[in-house]
Amino acid sequence: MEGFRQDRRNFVKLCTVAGITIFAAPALWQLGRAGQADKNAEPLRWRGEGADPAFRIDGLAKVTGDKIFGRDFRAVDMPGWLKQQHYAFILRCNRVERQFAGIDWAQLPEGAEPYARVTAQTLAENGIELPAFYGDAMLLAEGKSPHYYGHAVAILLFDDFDKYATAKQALQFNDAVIQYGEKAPAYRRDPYASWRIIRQQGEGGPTGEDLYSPLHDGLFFPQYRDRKAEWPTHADQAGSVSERGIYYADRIRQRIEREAADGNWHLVEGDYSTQIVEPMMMEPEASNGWFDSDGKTLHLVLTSQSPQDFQEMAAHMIAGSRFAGRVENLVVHSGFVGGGFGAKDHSIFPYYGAVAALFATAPLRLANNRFEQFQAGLKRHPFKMHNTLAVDRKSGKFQALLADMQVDGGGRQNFSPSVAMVGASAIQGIYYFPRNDIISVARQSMNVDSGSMRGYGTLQTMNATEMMVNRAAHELGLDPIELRLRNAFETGWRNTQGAIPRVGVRYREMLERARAHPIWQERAERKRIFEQQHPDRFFGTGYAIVTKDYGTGGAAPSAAVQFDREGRLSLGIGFMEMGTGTQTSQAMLLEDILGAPAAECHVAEMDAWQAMRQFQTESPYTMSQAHQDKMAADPLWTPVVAMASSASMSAYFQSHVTLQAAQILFEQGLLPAARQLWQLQQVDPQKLQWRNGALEMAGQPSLPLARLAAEAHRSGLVTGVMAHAFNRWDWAEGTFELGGDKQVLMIDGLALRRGGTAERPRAKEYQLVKRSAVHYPPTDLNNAMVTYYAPCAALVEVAVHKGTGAVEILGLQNYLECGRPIVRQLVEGQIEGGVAMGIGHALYEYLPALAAGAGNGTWNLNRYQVALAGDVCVWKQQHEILAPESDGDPHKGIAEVVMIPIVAALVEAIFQATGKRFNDTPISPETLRRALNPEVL
Amino acid sequence: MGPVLRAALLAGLFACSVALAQPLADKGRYLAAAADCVACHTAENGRPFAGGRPFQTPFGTLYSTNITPDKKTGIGNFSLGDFRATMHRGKGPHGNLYPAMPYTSYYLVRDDDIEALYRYFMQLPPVENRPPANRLVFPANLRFGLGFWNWLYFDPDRPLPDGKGRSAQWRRGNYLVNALGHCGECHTPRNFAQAMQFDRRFAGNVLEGWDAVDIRPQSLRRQGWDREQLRQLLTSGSSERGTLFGEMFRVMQHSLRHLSDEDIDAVITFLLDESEALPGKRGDVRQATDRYGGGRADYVAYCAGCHGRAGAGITLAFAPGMDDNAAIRALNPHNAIAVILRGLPAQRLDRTRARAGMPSFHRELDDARIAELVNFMRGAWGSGGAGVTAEDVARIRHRLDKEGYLGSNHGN
Amino acid sequence: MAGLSVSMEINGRAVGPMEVPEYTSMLDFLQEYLNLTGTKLGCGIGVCRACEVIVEGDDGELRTLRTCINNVGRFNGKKITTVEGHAQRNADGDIESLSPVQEAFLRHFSFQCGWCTPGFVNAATVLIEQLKKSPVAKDEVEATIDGALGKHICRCTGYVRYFHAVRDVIESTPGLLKEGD
Repeated sequence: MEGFRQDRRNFVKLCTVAGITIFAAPALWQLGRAGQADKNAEPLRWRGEGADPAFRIDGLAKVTGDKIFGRDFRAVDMPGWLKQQHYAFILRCNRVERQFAGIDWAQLPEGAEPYARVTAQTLAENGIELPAFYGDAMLLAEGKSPHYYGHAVAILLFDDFDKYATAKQALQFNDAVIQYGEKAPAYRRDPYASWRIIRQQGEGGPTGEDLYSPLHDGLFFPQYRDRKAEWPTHADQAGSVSERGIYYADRIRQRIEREAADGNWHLVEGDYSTQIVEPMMMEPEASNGWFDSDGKTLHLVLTSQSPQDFQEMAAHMIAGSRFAGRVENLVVHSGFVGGGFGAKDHSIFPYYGAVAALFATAPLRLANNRFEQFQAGLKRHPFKMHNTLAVDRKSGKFQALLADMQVDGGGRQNFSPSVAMVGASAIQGIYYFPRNDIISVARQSMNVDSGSMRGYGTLQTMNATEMMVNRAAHELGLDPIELRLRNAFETGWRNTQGAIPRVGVRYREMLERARAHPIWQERAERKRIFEQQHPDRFFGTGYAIVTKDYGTGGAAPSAAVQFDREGRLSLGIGFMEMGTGTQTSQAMLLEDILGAPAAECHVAEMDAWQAMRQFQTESPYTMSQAHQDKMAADPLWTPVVAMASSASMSAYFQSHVTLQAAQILFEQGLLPAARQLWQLQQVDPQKLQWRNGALEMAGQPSLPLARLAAEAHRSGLVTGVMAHAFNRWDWAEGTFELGGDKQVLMIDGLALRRGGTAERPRAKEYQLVKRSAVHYPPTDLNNAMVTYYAPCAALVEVAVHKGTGAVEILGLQNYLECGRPIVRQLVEGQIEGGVAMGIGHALYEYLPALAAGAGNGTWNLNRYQVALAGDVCVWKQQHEILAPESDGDPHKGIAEVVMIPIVAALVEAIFQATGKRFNDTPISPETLRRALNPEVL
Repeated sequence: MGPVLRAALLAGLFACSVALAQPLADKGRYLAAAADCVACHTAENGRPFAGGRPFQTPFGTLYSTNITPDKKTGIGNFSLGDFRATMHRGKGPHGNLYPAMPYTSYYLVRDDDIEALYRYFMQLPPVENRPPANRLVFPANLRFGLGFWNWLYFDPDRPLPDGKGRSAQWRRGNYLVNALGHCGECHTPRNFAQAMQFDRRFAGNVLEGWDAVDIRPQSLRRQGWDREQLRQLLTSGSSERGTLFGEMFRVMQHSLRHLSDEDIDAVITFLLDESEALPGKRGDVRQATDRYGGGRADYVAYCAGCHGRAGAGITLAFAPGMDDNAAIRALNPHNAIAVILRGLPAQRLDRTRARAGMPSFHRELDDARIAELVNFMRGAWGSGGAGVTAEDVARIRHRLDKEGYLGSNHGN
Repeated sequence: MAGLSVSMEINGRAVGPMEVPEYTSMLDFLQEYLNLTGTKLGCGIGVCRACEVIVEGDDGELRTLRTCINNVGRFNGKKITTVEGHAQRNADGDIESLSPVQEAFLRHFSFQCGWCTPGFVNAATVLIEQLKKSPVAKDEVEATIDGALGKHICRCTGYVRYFHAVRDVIESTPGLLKEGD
């Protein structure tokens, strides 16, 4: 039997988890023609001739329909797999108020019977339990009441596509299949997490020491009673962290009341809420899995954004089950991701695929259709906020921010704790507040679970802030941009957590640019003229600006850069390609340092890193300083070995380590080669420059990269560098001995290649270089929550139809400050896509809660309205990417921020048009129609 | 009387009249919804009641009027008497109205309801909007002819259908359907002069290329409608027995879904004539497959993707099934044929309820294939009344084409 | 399940006659029976148009059809082009050249994740072919593109780069604009 043993050499051992060896397979797209993108005729080479690449590296494969996505691969496409393809689907509850009483199998059409039915009983018999991150009850047991709408009860396995399709058609919307019994009380549990961010600035003001803040004093937590958070009430200025916190919180609230009563401060107070949003990435989740029982190997093809995390947790899941002895190897394949937006990050879906595959007799495909994806896929958290903004009437300076937010996490915890935390830490937007008390509670509900969807809590909270600021300007009779200028955060100031952001902020510049724009300058005149010409429509202009933190406080990117004898550069990175162009932009990064872009960029690389032999221990977020200090002494230890991919993370974090590796490769490989060829003892790197792919120095013959590479290979110089970095709001600094020198580098793991023949980074060709010392950012930076920011602003003018409430975007100007863009077209595409999604959030996208919501399984795009081309001002939208201030500007993560300010800008434009102020999204045409025509039913 | 005292008195009077007027206006708002005024008196994307919606009639194009209380372009100068005359007699201050204005039904609206409607309209925000002038062919463009038309076809003394011995609920339904709802204006066949044929009240009538279906009790009962299904249909546009489209979707959207539960109950009671659905006489799939094999193959190839295997639908939230569908069970196959030819546009009721629309097949399916497809569906899931011929399809196709309903292609 | 014998021409190659279950959607036929996975499932109910392919009518005219809501029988005997069929390839299957629409989408960075790309490639190609027969006035180009591609759903790049790419193709291909413009 062909199978794992035969093909073992194609996979590389990653590590062993709980006795199961995790193997990483080459990224799937390399199986097909797409893997040889650079072998095409010259005009079809992605790099092109200009400063920017001609197109995306993955573009050719995507525009010609190659197999590159996880969902594309069938058994027959997988080398070494059994060729027969089996299929599965999941039965899910569409109600919660009664006990699940079993399945009426008689509903199955004749001739379309599954050969296996996996139920809670099957799982129990085999000891299979979900990883703790996801909670319990992977499949609901009979007699239990569903925890949430869409709770899975069974997986049906079919040995033939037509049987599968026939059964699915008969069962998917059939209310007689899942039977319900007794009425049962609702499933409830304590909130997933609670956060409180209290800060009182000290006498030193924005830059001085705080009287109290999370960074200064730490965090404290509530107790839970009746499923509700109860915060400590005892206040003591000299007491514990909580007593001091409550003391300052009370003082802030009292001060607000007093100053408001005295007429000194103007308060903007209100309830703000956001809706449940479906990420609606275009590729629904899928998996294909083959349990090769002879080879004791489980092979999986996934559509995941976070395959590394999946591997580890899945290995634990299997190791803890009766399959422990029967599965010794786990091989995970990943492809390109057909859109993620967070929906495929730590999704529970691949675990169903893995478990189903264990019970299949051939490769098993579990692929959501769109109804299923709506029913079971991760959503964007809806927030309910009660916020107060206090503004000094005289100066227009913000004095305090109070927020109390309820975050609905749905039926499974997933990332709800951190979404609630990030949302709370972001609510300050671009402003400085001398005092704040921000409470955020992530709670369980019977809705479909929400996860790390694009925006990650900040879209929800920052837009509320922008709505409040716009309202404050209106109520105080101030120009909205002027009010913002008076309150904009400055570089070096403290945020609501008491931390000082690491990236310079250019809010003033962005505000001034918008203020000078004709859409803003002429807004009154444009309104007058437009409304005169169109008596059936209102006209309004709105502005909003936000700044999005990016990073997780535990980033751990890896990169490997190498060249062959011909000087072809290849790059391996840990990040996935989720569509944002990571592969292309990372490949381009090499050009400045190594004279050419990477000819190949291998994304989602997982195997090569084992050359660095790193290991991790506790969670980087909760480990003690003592633990970190103790472990750091081991040169192979790192706080985090590998990280999940998210669109906002690649530009900054992945770029950092890619550049570090490239720089080392230059200094240890190309520079010595140049010295040898030029026969010089010393070369001043300052005097070198790349031109047309050749290294030049005055008075010396120019050296093409190929020549240098050949020399480096010939004389045993470094030909490949692999590095790992760690960032906790600051980079870890490791000391390594390189070429006889001790160097302090912003990495904590390193391996080098000399010679070597592999086209892509291979662990066995690399040799570990152990660090001699390391400095990790202190663990108390975990309290800082966020310190990296990229700002984005939107200026929009709209027409609102008086009769229908339809909003028509007439003009739109975006501003983005992203540091140094790597590939401009990719950034622009990101902005335009973000704007479209933001418009959808503001005006259209909506899922009701509970029984009427997505969990009932009947939702799809006929009802769920996303923005179409006609909704986004496709011919007229403009954007400006602020020029970097210097070559040293970072590459900032911007994938999330670009969708955010358009929301509040639209809300304000609608207010300016109609005089109706909305605090809740979406403002659908129906909502507006009713508001504008209350006299009509 | 001193000025102060006079002002106080006036203020008192004013407050008093406002207090009285408001409940009346609220009642009027409800009645205006029940009478579906907004649907006709609002242009596409226009402001409610400001008029300007075009109506294609055999005699040319009529535009609905502005019925906001704007003094220049609306009804701001109407007295209650003017308003009543318009509603009851089709007599506006400037002459007779074209009977596109359903005074031929509204004459049955009670005087107290007329006053409530009047109060409601007069307190709307006035909108200045002058709809385009009517474009009618001779001699219909001469308004004085309307008096003659009224003399011939309009009998303002014709009472509501007899409610003797009927329940109060039935009588309320009778009033809602015949007077306010003016359902007969569409559902009753018209003669050559476009006057309703009262002897065939509610027997169905083709309008704008659709069959405004036969809604007589025996027809609804034969199609198997029960009360709950009718309630769903009339309040949401969707039911297991089919969905609303075309003008009737707008009637539901603007009017029916705003009716109180009691009034919807009354409408249903009237429509079903206080009786229950007849036991459904189902078609015979096997026989239909044998007789119309090509039709079945086309159903499988063209229709089953959305309407489900064996006609059972997929989920009503997306597309209805065919096996219980009133359009298939109806005696008149017009809508079954027309919907295949024309397709349906996407329609959205609110942010949670919307349909994606249906492709049109007039380019790809010829008359014979459509006839066979319709015969298959009617044979398999209808009440057996197949027998649609290619000529029937050709006739409908010709008429739809002539009236411009096959131009738009709702995608493939 | 009852079988249906189908044969058709896909991307210039004869397929069939072969027996498939009659209720098989064209999308499933392409993916599960022919292993042509370039055509994508987005919504499965005919809304997003990621699954559109090109079908040549009996009149020789090209039209797009959604493969998720139409079953294989509708395509029986037809000539079909999927996203895999636009580029010119050599004997080894390597790409030698792209269609103008593909080229434009690439150079404009029109897509990110690429899931909606097949539908855009096919619909834009049909539009270009239609304009070859009936050119459009220059000031109607944008509205024409709106009409042809306005229902396609893209979640990554917000349509702008697709639409601009198609406008470029129309303006740079001789004969697509009305004379005198």
